[in-house]
Amino acid sequence: MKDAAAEVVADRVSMTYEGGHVAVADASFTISGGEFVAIVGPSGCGKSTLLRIIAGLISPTTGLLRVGHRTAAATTRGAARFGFVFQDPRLLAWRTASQNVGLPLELDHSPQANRSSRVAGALALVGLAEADSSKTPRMLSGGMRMRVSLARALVTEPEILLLDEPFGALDDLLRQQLNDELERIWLARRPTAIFVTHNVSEAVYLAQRILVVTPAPGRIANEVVVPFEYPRRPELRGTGEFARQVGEVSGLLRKAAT
Amino acid sequence: MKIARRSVLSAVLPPIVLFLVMLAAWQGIVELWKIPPFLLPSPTDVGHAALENSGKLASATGVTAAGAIAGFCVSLGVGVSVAIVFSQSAIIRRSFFPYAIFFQTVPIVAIAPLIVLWSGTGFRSVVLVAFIVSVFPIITNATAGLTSIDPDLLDLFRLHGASRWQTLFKLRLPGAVPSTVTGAKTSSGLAVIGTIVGEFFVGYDPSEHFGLGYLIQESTTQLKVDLVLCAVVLATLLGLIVFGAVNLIGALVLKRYSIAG
Repeated sequence: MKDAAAEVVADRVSMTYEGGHVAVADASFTISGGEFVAIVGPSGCGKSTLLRIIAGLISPTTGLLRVGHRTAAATTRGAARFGFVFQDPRLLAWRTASQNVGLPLELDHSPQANRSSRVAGALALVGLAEADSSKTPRMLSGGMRMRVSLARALVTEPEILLLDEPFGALDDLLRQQLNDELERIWLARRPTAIFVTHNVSEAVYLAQRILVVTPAPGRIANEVVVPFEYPRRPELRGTGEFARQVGEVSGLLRKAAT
Repeated sequence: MKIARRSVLSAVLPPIVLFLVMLAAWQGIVELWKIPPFLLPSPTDVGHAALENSGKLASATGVTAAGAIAGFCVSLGVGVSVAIVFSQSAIIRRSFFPYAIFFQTVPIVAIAPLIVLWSGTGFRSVVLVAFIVSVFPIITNATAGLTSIDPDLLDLFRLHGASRWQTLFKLRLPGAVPSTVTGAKTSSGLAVIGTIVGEFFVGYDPSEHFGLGYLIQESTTQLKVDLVLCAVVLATLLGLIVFGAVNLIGALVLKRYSIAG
């Protein structure tokens, strides 16, 4: 495991929006550097809010959130590089695929010299053909747009990869294909990956550990360790052991909802 | 190909036939009731007037076109600049927006004397009137575009530490292009109307060439109704051409700025 990945520690984190809506209540967890953790819960349970708190886009109302390396106790948030993948690809329509992928490098003023090679590397990593890199989003299919979005999140070689239901809008076959791609990318780069989803089988297939969140206000109800070895193959989905794991997490999810 | 030609024909033919029928009826009525030409000239009279005054009409159309295009360009530049300032803070927006509505509501006739007083008569004042009449749709549409950016994209820019300028130039301005184009379409039509109205009230300057608005006003006082009708037709055509051109450019620009094919 590379030492590039940063850990995420949440200590009694709560988030109350203006108007009194409690999105997250008392969430405490530790995600180690390089770990793949899925957060599952019903829609509107504050999963997205939690991701945005981790990314530093919003500050928690109470509680502490620490992101950084275990050795450097006082690491500031800016030191950890984040990649964020949204539910929709959220590409800029007026930029080509490679220009979209290069955007984060422009924004944080990365050296001009190796930008194009980093963009090409990220596009190759997500399996986008070179011919497609000069196309604008409207010329790409839904699956290819999501690959571009993934490449944009990976181009800065993030230490922490945050994924907010990225494959929720895709059909099942495409979703499974992209699950395999994501697993391959994670194994190759080994960032800390935090994957929000409401699809239990997707969470079991990808994650080392699953946090089960209750409906609003979101609390961490359970933690499930997924025992399967990597690399996980599509055949795994057909095994009884896989079905049993999915059943267990679904049961916990139902229990958390009542 | 054959089908396409037939559908174009079926779209174009009926209004042309109707136009010819109306011209014939007009000609017939004028001749039958012997209506004097200072009240209603016949279509052939109007045609003669157009040929006789073709130089004057062409020059006036050119002057009006120049005024409309200049007014529209000033509106686009000033409107987008104002919208950029508005987009930077909600307090600025709230403080200044009520005053921007001035451009929408002020009756141009009421302030025409002031414009003459401060800016004189002639082309510059005409452009000023065209600008006042046409700037508001650009301000509102561009401001709406600049401020209604997808929150996820704003998050993405913040995540990568984007500066205010980076967010403006790489996200807000390109993102506001579609709604600004919508505003520009409305504004272009208003700029032509504004120019002609401006020529009515502030357009006369003996040292300059005059536009269609002034020609209409002058010919009306001289009871040259045939010339007035020529100018009205040309003003209408000019409006259509300017509106069509802006729509065409807008469609070409929008192609690049929308994700949905």
